[in-house]
Amino acid sequence: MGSFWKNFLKIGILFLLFLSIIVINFTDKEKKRFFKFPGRILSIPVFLAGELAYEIKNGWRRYIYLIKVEKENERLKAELLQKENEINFLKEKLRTLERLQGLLGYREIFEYPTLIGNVIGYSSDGGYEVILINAGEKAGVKEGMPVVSYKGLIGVVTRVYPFSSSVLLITDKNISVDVINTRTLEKAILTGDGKNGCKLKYFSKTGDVAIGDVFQTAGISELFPRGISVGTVVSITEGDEGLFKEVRVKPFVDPNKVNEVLVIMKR
Amino acid sequence: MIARAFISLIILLILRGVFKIFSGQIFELYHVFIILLAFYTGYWEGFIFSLIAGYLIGSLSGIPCGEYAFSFPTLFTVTFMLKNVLNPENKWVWVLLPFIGTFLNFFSAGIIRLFSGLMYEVHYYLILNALISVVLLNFINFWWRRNVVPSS
Repeated sequence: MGSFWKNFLKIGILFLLFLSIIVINFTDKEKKRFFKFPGRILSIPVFLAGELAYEIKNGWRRYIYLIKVEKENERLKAELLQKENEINFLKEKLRTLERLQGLLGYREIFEYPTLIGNVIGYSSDGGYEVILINAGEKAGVKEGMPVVSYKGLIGVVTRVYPFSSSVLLITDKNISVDVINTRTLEKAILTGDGKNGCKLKYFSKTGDVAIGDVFQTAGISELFPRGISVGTVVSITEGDEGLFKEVRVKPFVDPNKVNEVLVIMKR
Repeated sequence: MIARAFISLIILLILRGVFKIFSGQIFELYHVFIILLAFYTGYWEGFIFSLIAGYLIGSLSGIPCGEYAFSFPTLFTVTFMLKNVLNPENKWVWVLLPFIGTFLNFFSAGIIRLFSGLMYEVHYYLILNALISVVLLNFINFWWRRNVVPSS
């Protein structure tokens, strides 16, 4: 018993140390390669379940009233309900059309080709703020491509699977976006605060910023094209100590309320 | 038992991927199955499984850095060591183990994330996550125990 414990502890700890050292020392490229294959396999059931849930969600309204009725009265009631439902469905279609028109208008701004996708899933693990869209490698999506809605920037593609991609949202703490204040033309770095909002990183106390200022992408990092709306300043805190102001920015896009997205095929 | 754990993990993965309600950090419950495995499998098979499970699940995350491939085997090893010290008949074991295990899993994953240059923050809802872990672990344990005799 004693020797067994000693052995597995020794080997286990050594193995863990070995593994952690190897993974930590991976370059980004090696990490991508290391994690690519299982991600592709596992994304398939998640994608299929996501597509199914999406179809059920959309199809439910259309098919709920298509049940057989025996009595005339019930048939008429059902018909009435069906008509009401059709109106709601058409209204929803109209709203979708308006959103798509917004996206189409938006896509003309960019000099790059664009691709429309639907949101089929949400952050599945790790605490990263991620959404899953139904456009992947087969549609030409690549890592690093910006994702927007007609209201503004949503995030950047970080993982690409054959039929889907995961998009790291601008509300995630690990993202950095170069932005510009449209009023003062002052540049800054925006990052997520992990609480459905954003903040400016290292914004100098002497910098000029006011509540209500609008930030757009600055186009310096070459990751995001210039001129995509990002958000508006909602609070500014100036501490007594330190060199920086704490500037909180509310993104124009609420990722929880997005259905259609536009992938900018940059790269 | 490993097959059960694998199916449970996949179901949780799909639930978290598809339904918004499960995607928040309070439903990060993979570690519950890793803790349970420590009671129902041998060391090496459970260790290898938790390593592979951590690698697979981590590979789907936004920016994978091997955090789960480290935290799952760590959690498994610690639980496996504790199970021989603690009395499984004591009900508090089944309350404290998932509660503390939640924090251990988060911190060990966080260490790897910090070493990889990523951000990591502890939130108050980790406590809520720990409480849900206690409920889920006891529910699954009750369910599994009906058919399975612990290995030791």
